[in-house]
Amino acid sequence: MAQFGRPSTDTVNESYTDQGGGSSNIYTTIDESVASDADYIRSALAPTNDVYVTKLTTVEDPQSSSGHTVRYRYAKDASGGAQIDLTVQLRQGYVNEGSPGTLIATCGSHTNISNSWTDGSYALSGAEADSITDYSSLYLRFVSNQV
Amino acid sequence: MATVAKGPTGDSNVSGTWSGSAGTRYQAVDDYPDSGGADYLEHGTAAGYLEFTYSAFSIPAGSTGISVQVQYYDAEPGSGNNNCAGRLVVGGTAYNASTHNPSGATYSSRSDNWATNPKSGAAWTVDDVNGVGGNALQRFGFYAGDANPVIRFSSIQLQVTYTPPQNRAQVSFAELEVPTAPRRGRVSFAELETPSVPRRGQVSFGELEVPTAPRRARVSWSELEVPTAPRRGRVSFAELETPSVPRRGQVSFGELEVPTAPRRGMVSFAELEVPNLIGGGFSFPQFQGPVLDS
Repeated sequence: MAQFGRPSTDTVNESYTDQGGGSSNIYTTIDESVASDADYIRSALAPTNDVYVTKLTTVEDPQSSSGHTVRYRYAKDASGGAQIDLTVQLRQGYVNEGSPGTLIATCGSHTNISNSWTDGSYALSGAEADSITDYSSLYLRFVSNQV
Repeated sequence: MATVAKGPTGDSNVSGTWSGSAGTRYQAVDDYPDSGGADYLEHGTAAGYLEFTYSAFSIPAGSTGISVQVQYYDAEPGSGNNNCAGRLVVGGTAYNASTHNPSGATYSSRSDNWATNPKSGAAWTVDDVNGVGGNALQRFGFYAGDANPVIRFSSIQLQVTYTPPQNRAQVSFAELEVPTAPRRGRVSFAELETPSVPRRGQVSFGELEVPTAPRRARVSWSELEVPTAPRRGRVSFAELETPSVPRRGQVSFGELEVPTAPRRGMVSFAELEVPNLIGGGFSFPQFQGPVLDS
């Protein structure tokens, strides 16, 4: 059996919206248990290292250094056009960009992302998993940038 | 705003007099920005042009604000009135930028700009600069209206300036999976039920306890001794006989007191209870007294 930490709140939102342009509680578009591309968060046009951070739901300390996996799905909004890069991080104790907490792992540094939805998956190393000291304070941080 | 540039990769159309050899002249100017004239082409004195081929651009679809520049370095080893400019070939037609008079032996940086497509007269499209369609950008190079005195070109490139389309990053799903936290098994109750082992009934002792049978106390004899009752001397009669007037002897009081008749103490019931003796059977000490009248 596994347990899952899922987006639970918009901690920091630098001009991200949901697929319809709404800006409130956009974490709800990416918190499903079965991935769906029907709803999603999106950066502003031509993002300049725009940040979105969401707090994950609390999971119980599994007392294990293995089996920690971050998953996400990402894409660019249209084919061709400008290059969009996306960085995904797992952090602990994040407050804001001035106090970003501890970087647990950089789960993905995606350059020139495609306009096709792509699975992102990152398995934490044992050391990275062991660096988690508070499973109630984990965050996913997304940074998008147009090159 | 973004830019992308291409250097010459081959010779194309040529006219006038040029140094170097046909087919390889591009190699003398493919090192933009050679501002020092490490190598160069010398044009003149017969004016003309020299066109180069290049590898196609791949401007992103949706790009806007496209302009095209021919950038180069020129100089004239001998001063004089001459003129030159950059050149584009678009949709099969050559277009020369406005000419200028290169001056001095020191190479000067030049950039001739086409803000719109000279063939269509409209804004450049992505297809135009990517070499697609009837108004495609095809070649670039040098042009001289007057190459006397000679003109030198040390390097050249074709640049496209554009505003890339604005895009967004999108994320449709995110989760963190961790193993389930371990648990301890707990057992709060356990038992093994088995049929009872057969047993024999055993009786090691049996008795019937009944109330002790009542007994009568008997008193076979008893007395009460009391002091002898006092007696009175009595005179039951006394007289004085006298001759005389007869009198009556008077007695105002007289009685006969006798001892109280003895009585028997009566006991209607008496018993002495003693513990039953162990070993079966018992003896009941009996106390016998006189049987008393009621």
